[in-house]
Amino acid sequence: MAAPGIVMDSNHQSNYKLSKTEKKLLRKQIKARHTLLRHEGIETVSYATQSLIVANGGLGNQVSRNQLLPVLEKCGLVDALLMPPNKPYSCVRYKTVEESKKAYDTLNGKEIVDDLGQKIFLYLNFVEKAQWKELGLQALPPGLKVIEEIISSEDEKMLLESVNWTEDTENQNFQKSLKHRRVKHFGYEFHYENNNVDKDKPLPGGLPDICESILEKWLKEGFIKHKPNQLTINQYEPGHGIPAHIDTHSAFEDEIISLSLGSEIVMDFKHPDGMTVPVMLPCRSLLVMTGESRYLWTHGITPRKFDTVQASKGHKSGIITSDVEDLTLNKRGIRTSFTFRKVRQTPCNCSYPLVCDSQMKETPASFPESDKEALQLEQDYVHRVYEEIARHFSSTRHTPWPHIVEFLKALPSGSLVADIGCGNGKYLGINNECFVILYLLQIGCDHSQNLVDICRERQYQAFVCDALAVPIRSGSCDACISIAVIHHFATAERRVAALQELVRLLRPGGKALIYVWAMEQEYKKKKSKYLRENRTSQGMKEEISNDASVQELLVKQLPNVGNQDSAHSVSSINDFQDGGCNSKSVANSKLPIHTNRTSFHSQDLLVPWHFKGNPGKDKRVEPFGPLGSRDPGPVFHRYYHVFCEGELEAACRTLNNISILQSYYDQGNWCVILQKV
Amino acid sequence: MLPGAARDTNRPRLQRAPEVQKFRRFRSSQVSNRIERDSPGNDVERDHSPSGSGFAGVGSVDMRLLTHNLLSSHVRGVGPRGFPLRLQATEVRINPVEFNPDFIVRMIPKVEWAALLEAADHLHLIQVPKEPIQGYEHNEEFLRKMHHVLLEVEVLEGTLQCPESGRVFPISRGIPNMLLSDEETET
Repeated sequence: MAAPGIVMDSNHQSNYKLSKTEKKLLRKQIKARHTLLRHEGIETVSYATQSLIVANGGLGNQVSRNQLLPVLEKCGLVDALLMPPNKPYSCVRYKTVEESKKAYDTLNGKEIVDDLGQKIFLYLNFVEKAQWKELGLQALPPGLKVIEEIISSEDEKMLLESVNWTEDTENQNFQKSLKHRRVKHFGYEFHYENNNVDKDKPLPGGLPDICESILEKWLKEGFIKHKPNQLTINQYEPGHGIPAHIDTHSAFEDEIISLSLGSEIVMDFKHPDGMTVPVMLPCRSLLVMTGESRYLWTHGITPRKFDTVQASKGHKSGIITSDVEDLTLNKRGIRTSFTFRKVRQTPCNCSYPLVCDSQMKETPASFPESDKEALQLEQDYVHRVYEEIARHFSSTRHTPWPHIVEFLKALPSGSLVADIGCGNGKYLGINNECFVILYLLQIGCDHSQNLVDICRERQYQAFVCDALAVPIRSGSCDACISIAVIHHFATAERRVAALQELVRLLRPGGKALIYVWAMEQEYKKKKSKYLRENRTSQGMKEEISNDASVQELLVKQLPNVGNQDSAHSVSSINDFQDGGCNSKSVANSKLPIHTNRTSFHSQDLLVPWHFKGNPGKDKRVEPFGPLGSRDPGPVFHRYYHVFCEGELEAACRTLNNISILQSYYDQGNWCVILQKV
Repeated sequence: MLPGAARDTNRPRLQRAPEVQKFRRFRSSQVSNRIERDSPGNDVERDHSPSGSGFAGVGSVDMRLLTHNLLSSHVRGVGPRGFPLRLQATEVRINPVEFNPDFIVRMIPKVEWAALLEAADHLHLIQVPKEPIQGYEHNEEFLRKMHHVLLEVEVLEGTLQCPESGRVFPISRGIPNMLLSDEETET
């Protein structure tokens, strides 16, 4: 399909009438421009430059480098071709503007055939610069090794031939054809129902002899430290995969090794904070996972037929970097993996309790009766949770609240403002937005290192500390804000102490703005945003049922835990139901778990957070089914004390040297502005 | 591509939804999936950001000397004697910031000068005047100098030490960690 050159500048278009095809092409091209801007933040320009964005010509569209490059080179000398992973576009830079213009004129609307044999039309637009924001240098997950060429091709052949997939014996239970791959177990059978092995029932025959001798060799040569006694053989056809998972801590020892045979593959390792490291596992290589990479990172294989890999020769194992000038697609072949593990006989005592089934909290949180218990509750159900969910949490927090912005904007220029519990620093940025009229010096602090890391990335001054002990000079601040912080303290004394600390930081005359979550989510007959955002009734149902299934899941995950606890927690929810604001301390009672986007039934409660590991990415990945996206990630519970009407004010009145300037309700929050006298 | 492909009976616990990579072509309208928004602390928000992370920041900012000047030790019982924190730096960088004379003029009175001198001395910055000079509001050379010292010098790695108790707080990747242990905060 020959594409006519189309002048983008609309002023010139009136000179001649566009044909139907030309109009269609122009429409598509403009659409591509908008999509690039809206979804990728890539700004195209309407004048000719050396660089072009090639929409549809990307690795994410099954277009590989060696397919696209010749097409582009027909128009001139290509200086660079950037192909970012998983993106449906690429970026080409020509030596001269003339060449790039030629490509723009001839390739727009051009049809090419992708690696899967499907037709694709290219749409080109000029960009100022061919660039791609690097994701930063990645390193292999700690404790991970890939040893290349660990066995010879002869051994590989022998091992592959030793696996008899057609074998039809009585021992069918340890050979299964899972929906998306074939699998076979030796030593112990791996039960997919509970992701564990039956430690008292070893399979007869142990590991195949051929493996025994290879393992002995690896031990002797120091590649592995322990001799495994369980083997799982998986066979993956192109397009097959395995969901991201952590091998059950209580089932296996630290070292888990996997031999890749038949074909190479890219395995994705993910840290709970969302970082993904794709790792190339070449044919005949051994993957060794220990420590953090075994206990904390998930690993999985994305079901697809092509992997994004390094284009340069010589690069074999290890990380697929984000060097977009060096990426292409690699067609997958049939890969057979031999995964060896050592069955664990004692409970796991790793240092990652949040993902360790041996160390999971056996009892739900209970109402704190002492300062020490309060501290522990905050540690487990506030600090630790924010640390884990930081990235995901931050991705949902970016629009500053109008009344808070108003408060900040009303401060005199040059004021020093401390944001105690600044989270991802969303209010620290107010300064930048309106710096023409106001120069605030803002510093923030938070208990969560991960949230403070995000502040730093956003170029804010922030540090890690506790809101009860803020390391700022007394009397130095012109203003303090405490947004959605005080409600995380578990006793009335600690909440007052946190307020006291705010006042300590203020200079006489300085003001503090405090926001806490309100028990009353419906005020003056108006439902709060929190309740109103409750989607449609159908969505609501879905959420509830989702919650229920998650809780069921949690209970199921703890086979050793007596069920009386969960029964107890159900009854305690009822206990709280009419407790309302007068329910002060209920001795020994378990904290109820709140259902998101419903009214509160208790002032002290746990609020679930449905964790999504990689929110930025999830957004663009279409769910593969109506239920796909609702697959429950881990659920974290945060402790809250929601405030009743007048409670925050009353707490403030117990402080010395302050006057309350304002007290109001804002979208489900109680708010106070106080001044130090 | 491969609808339903990632369903698998092998579903170890605590895993996240398997990722099926479905790539859009530029012909269909892209509906961005809403991201999880249960949002205590009240703010109910949607992610509008094109990049997902939401931030277009190019580089990070580490601890500036102006921030150091505000920090004070909060170790129990130390009180005003916890100021200034002794700064030791093993890695310092200069990060240019747009010069804003008005801002600097307003900051000068807030600065504890002796503490600034001490910190600058530890970092071997020689150009800090012994005190704010007369009429500094209109002295661009002085303001530029102070702009540099207060805002452009950043500590990437180092420590802050409480002058009274000797407690050392680390500065790692530009962030001071001022958390105290439970024992230190207990009454």
